[in-house]
Amino acid sequence: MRRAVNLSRMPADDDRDDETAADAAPRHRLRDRLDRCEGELVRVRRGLDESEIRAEQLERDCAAAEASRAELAKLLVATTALHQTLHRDDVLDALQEILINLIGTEDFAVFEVEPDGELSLAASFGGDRDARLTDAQPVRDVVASGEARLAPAGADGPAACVPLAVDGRVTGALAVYTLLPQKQGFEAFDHELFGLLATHAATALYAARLHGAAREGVFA
Amino acid sequence: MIATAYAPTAASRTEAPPRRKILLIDDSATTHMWIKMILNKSAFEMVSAKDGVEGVEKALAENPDLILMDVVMPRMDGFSACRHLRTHDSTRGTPIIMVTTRAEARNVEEGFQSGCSDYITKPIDGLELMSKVRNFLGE
Repeated sequence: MRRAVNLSRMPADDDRDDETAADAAPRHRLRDRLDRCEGELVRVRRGLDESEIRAEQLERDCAAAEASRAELAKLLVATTALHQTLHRDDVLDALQEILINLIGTEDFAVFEVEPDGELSLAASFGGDRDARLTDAQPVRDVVASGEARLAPAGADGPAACVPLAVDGRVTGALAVYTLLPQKQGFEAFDHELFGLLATHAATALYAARLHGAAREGVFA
Repeated sequence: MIATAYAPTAASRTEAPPRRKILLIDDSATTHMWIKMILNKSAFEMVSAKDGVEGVEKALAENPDLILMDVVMPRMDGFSACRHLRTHDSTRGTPIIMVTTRAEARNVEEGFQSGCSDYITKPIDGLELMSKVRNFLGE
């Protein structure tokens, strides 16, 4: 009959001079098995650690993908909202909604360049409407240069002024004066949205103007 | 013993869980379009209303799992609509997330006094919106 082996009471290696080959064999097998188990445990723990790192990375990737999806959806919504109508007032309403809901502006104005080169105020939201044209030099500068201007926080004049252009010709400008209180400043994505508005708001307003003129011609 | 191949019975087949219904009350077409894209129509059933009056009607008729409500709206504002919904048994416990352009303390306080469950500010952060929706719907 074989003896049961108690691992906790196993003698040290140098204290086993009197053990028989029959005693040593099961103990060696158990020790081998224990070593394999410990090796397996180390591998499993390492695998678990790697899985946790991969899971964290996947979570970050998912969050980044969802953030990208949200931003792309904003661009798509802005484009759709601007081009789903040929009526000037509806285009201006869409522009107002984009600026408030998607960018977070509180006070802004839309300017157009008239045939004589002068600026006219197409729409104004918040602030003093009369002061828009009298204080429009920064807007005129942007129309003249064709370059967007984003002012640092606390600077005088509009916080952002973006030229509206069709076929490379500046047809107007969008001026943002203040942001909603909870909006700390422009983010990288806002620049993309302004870039989209620079062309799509311009073409939508241009198309609405042509449509209006055509209707007046038809019904004259 | 002969192993038998697993064949799912009608009872063991799992059916897709019913889509949770979200009522979006906002007078902005742009916000409707964007939130619907963000919340992914395949994941949620979206119901829309354009002002507080229509929102209250839809909430009582549709019994949504969650309501996203703008504050400034024609006919009835979000605070009034929220107070109204809290007087009805069917909508008393429905989570209402107020969507506001004004994040000042007094506006937030008024929102909670009207019975809203939470609030988010415009411009809406897509990740924050999804996180709050999932949190309230237990997903």
